[in-house]
Amino acid sequence: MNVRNIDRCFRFVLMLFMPAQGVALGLLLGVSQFAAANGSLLDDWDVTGFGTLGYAESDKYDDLVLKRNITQRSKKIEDHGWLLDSKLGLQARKELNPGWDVVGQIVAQEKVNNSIENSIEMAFLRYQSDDMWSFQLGRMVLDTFILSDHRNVGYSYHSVRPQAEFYGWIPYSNYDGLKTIFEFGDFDSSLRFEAFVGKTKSTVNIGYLGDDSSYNYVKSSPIYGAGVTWEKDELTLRAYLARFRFTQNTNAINELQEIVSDPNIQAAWPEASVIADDYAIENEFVTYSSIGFSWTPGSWHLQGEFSNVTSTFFGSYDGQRAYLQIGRRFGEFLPHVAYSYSWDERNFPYDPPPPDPLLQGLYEGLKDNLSSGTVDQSSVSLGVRWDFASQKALKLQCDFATIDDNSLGIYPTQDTPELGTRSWKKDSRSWCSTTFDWVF
Amino acid sequence: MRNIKILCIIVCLSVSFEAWAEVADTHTIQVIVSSQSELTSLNRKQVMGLFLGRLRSFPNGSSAKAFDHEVGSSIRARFFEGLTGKSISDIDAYWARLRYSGRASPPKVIDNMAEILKVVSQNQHAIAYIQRQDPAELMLQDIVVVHTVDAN
Repeated sequence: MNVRNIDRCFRFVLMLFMPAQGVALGLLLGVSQFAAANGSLLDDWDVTGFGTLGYAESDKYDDLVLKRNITQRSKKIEDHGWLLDSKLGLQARKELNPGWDVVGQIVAQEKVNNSIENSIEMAFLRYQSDDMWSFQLGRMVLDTFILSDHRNVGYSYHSVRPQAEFYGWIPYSNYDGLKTIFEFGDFDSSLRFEAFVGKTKSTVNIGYLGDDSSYNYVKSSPIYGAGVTWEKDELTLRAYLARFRFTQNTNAINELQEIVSDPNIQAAWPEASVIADDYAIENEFVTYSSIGFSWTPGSWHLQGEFSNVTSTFFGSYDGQRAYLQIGRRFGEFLPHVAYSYSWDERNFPYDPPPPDPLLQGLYEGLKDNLSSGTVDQSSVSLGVRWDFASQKALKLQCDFATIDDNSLGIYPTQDTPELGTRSWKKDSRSWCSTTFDWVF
Repeated sequence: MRNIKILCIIVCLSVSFEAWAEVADTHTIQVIVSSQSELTSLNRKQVMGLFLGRLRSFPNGSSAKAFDHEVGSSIRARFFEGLTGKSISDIDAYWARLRYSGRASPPKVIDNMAEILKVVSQNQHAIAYIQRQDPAELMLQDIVVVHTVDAN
């Protein structure tokens, strides 16, 4: 069975189980109606939550904006440094009976699409057949990487935010679908296998402008993947492989395609429309593979991940990312240091157009599109976490980022010309951030 | 006079020993199960596995349900720090990871010692921990001590 057949197979499974949009919402509504019909179901809900109140110097420089990830609005973040890391999450869980439970989670935070439906991170029904097997249906958080499934919960990790080089580029945080987990082990070690299939969507703001032409509407269907986690004492090893079929609707690309379809341009420079088509993303595939570890001997905390992203199209990130984080607890304080990098393998492979000033401008504009998605950068982060009270922590962190030539994929520049390239040359920037994280 | 001195030394030593034993008692936390569980002892790794949500069964295959004390309570901090060697903040962060990723929920909290004893005595799947008590008295309530944690 080749890859295309596997994709068809997963799409068929999705059609069977996911016939309509809003499965997650439906699940929540269904359970709540069921609960309303049965008074006892309204009792014994475990309602908890988490929050982060933060401030970062996102407007420190007049040529670059600090962002947590690409789902945030660049200009909004630049003007409101307290929006970068702040968020509030509520979670409800109910055990329906010993084998069944339902979990819902909603998170309010800064992002392009702030609708209620888009703020629901989890709404799933779980069936646990025995100690080994469990099955989940509904909306779940993606857990392709170690921090993916709890990256909104600042209290659960000691840095101010997951490393931007590794996590900042990820457009999705959740998906609607099915997940199955098989785990076994003894009191010495445990092994956990999981596999999922589903679909997801998101709106991201790559670039600086806050208008509609800077928003990318991305969706992926099907998405599927599998992972294995091995735990022994204080060591956890993890490997994951996931594959997404991407479709992206970007107004900027649509406008570009309109320009290059002009008969005069087509006659003078036929390759222009080829380049514009290569940027357009329609049913293209991205494969994420990752390995990671977490080791906590005594007071030490070590964690690292490496991932490789490959895509079948030119318009998407394609390269390697990694980070290593080391910390040590001294009573209530946990100082830590991290190094992370992201390396984008893409180059602009197209020949220059015939010598015409108008075409040269267009060529520079096309090259500039690549810069807005390139993530070639590294960071050294120094920080300290202070657990000053039960389930409450204060964090302070400074990041020293080195951003390579024309690498503006996460931290956008304000200097976005209508047509032509941004002249970003390799340079370093530093930012400091502080957060108050708690769970309740 | 010499006898009085010896008597004083003996009295002082016994008082010190009692005080030391009392302090030692307050530092000792007992892990308890129902006598119906047919368990006689658990080792440290087994207790960790059950209280950190890594396993949901006792070594004899019977399902297990752990119960915890109030978040922020002294006994909870001393128990987890004594058991795992980690700060209670690290344990709370660990549970935040599991809970808010939807993977697992922390043990149910019972903040009343009498209620803990009642739940454990009546439920063969229950496991909990308490400040040190006389094992013979616990046995009268159908409760067995399966592990002790030296929690300073």
